Amino acid sequence: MKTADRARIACLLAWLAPGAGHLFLGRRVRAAVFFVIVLTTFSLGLAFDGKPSVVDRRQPILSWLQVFANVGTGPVEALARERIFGKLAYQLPPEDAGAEPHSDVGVELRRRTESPRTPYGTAYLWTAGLMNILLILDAFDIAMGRKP
Amino acid sequence: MNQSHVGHLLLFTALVSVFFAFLVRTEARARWRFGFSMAACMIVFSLALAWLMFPFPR
Repeated sequence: MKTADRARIACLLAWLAPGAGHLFLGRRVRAAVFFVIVLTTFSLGLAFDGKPSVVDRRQPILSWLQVFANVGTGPVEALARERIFGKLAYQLPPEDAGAEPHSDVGVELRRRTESPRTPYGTAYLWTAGLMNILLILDAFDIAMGRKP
Repeated sequence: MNQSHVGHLLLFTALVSVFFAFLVRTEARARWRFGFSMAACMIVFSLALAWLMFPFPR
């Protein structure tokens, strides 16, 4: 298999499941450790009422970066988001831009914002996603022969 | 634990330190050294920052 193809597959697998890229590249111990750490961090985020970020037109750059960090965790984040909001919502509905939320997404976001546990949970969710993004880059480096 | 800043600090530090130890080091001994150093730095700097912020609650 060509090096570039190997790198592409490793990156895709790394996004699909934390540590899967490293497993594909033969780094079994690292793969297992990364799988446990990223999913533990993500689970803590859910357990502490973490708030999946949505793009808010009032703060586009910041909220887009937050969504990017969330999406880095992979499909498991999409499943959690679907469970929390009842649908795959990545953007704040326009009707929720005012003081009072109206949609299901807005109401759930407000409920989580008012929870004292949410700041911790949200930090764990972002951290899990950012960790997995680093793992994707690490898998790429390993596949390209830049790292042992 | 639910709202314990220190509890979350220790838990977060442990997770992040182990993650980076395995990410940037390949030998077991080097991982331990890196992990402990990183955890110590995170805890010390967090407490120092909290102490510096104490006179400015808002």
